[in-house]
Amino acid sequence: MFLARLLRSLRTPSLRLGRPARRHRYVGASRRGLFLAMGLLLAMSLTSPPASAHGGEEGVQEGYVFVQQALGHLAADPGPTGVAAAEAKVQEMLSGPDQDGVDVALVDQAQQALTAGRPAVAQQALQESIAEAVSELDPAFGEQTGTTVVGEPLAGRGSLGGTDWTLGGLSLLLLAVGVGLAVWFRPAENMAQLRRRLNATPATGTDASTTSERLPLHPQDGPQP
Amino acid sequence: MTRVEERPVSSPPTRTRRALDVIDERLGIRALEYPVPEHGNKLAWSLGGVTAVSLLILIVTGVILVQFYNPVPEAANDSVRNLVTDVWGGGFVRGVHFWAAQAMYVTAALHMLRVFLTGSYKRPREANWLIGVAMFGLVTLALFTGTVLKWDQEGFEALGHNLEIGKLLGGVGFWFSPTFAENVPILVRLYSAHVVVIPGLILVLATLHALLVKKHKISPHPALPSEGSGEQAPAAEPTEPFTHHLRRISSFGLALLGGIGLLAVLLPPGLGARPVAGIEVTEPPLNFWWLYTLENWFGLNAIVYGEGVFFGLLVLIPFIDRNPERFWRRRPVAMALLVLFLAAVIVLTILLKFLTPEVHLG
Repeated sequence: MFLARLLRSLRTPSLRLGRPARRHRYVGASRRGLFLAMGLLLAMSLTSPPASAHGGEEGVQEGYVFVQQALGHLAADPGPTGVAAAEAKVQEMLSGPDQDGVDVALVDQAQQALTAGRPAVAQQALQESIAEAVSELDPAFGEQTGTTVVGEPLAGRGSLGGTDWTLGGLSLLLLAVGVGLAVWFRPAENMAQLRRRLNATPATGTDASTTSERLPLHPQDGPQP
Repeated sequence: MTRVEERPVSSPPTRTRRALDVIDERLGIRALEYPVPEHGNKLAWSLGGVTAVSLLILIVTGVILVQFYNPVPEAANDSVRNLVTDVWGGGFVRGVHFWAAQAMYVTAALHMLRVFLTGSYKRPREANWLIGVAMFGLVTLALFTGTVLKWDQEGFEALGHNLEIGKLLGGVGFWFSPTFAENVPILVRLYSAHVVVIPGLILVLATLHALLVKKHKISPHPALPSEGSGEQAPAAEPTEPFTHHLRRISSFGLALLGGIGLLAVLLPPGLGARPVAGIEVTEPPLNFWWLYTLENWFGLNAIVYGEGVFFGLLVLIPFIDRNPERFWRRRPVAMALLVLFLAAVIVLTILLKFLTPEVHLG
């Protein structure tokens, strides 16, 4: 089933894979193959049709969706810009052909409230106007939102409560302990000291991490017995 | 040069040491005590480890969050609200998860920047660079899917963009087609990707990444003399056991957790209203602003090209840059390109605030 879907997807006009790639003997040829594949991907996206309306839904928009869009604008921005966008959507709904499940009288009330600068009243009326339409919706699938009540954004942080102070205090403590330990466990030498030491040491031709022995971290420590 | 043995032999083993010996006999934990050059314990050289700590925090908080999250479209937004408002500490855990994700993105980017600046992606470490690039791509995907999961207007618009990009990619974007599994909400599939597929792949690649670091050893510091071929730190450089490296990373990790906790308390992540189809009223998360500016200018295709160029360049770096020099002053072309690259991303990111947003979805 999965493979069938995958193959069907691969047979779309914008991507034809054709015959399997030939095995190349030389690295240069492999590199050419890589560039060819990248070119193919680029060409594929260049020749793809431009993206259109969201969700690819075409045809007549249902009336309740316009109302939801108006609610979405108001929820995102209850200021003049959001109100203007919501008014436009309400107007689209009122002049549209599909008003099934929408209480047009309530939408009219909402329009008046928006004009009067009372977005909260308009939101309530708009939400109530589509009660019938959203009650008949099937469970969401694909990219459907499943939204019935648009609602409001979650309120941001208020003043700090006891739990916030406790968690904040613990976090601050962790931060301080972490910084303290990081300083405590820091390498013994800074880069300048390390460079001076290494410049004064004749090269041995092997690398540091293969030896089980180590130099004293401070020259004053001196060789240990 | 006089050398000393790493561990003094005179002191009698303590009770802790004896206990560790018992465990070591069974689990071989002493294998972790392999030597690491001293410069490997600097903060800049520990950023990969700090990124791993972020991943650990994300996994722990993620396990808690999935206990309360409902990925069904009708309930997803409400389940996040309930977590924040009704579950004790739920908002804090969500905040820690959110900020740990940001921290992972930033520390991974800084780690890659350090690797580039010190030429650590050069022979013989090219493959490990590619694994790192793949992990960075997965982190970006995790950020994207995490944004969608909260199922508010911002998340839904992010999904809308991705579905359109999936269409632009044709067959390559088949997974992002809502018709791929027609009866399953795409939110559920993104949820499975976010909690299983993406972290699973990151863990596999991170293991491979760590094993290759062990195999190739910590790359030499370009400001220090290196051994003959220039591929390894010199034998004269002091070393510390890897367990000390872990100890320092844990310290940084503790500090990171504290910082993240403070951010979670003071700047908790928001949650918008339930999503509505057909409008475009939100901005993407900061990490994607530069792409949003490109989209504003050139349309949705620009997101594909922008991401393609970004990751394409990262992949090609070790194949294009064959200069064995690692010190940044002796790599003027690479440094100039890096500055151009960073300047482009930063300018595009800032420009978003000065542009009138174009609607591409509605």
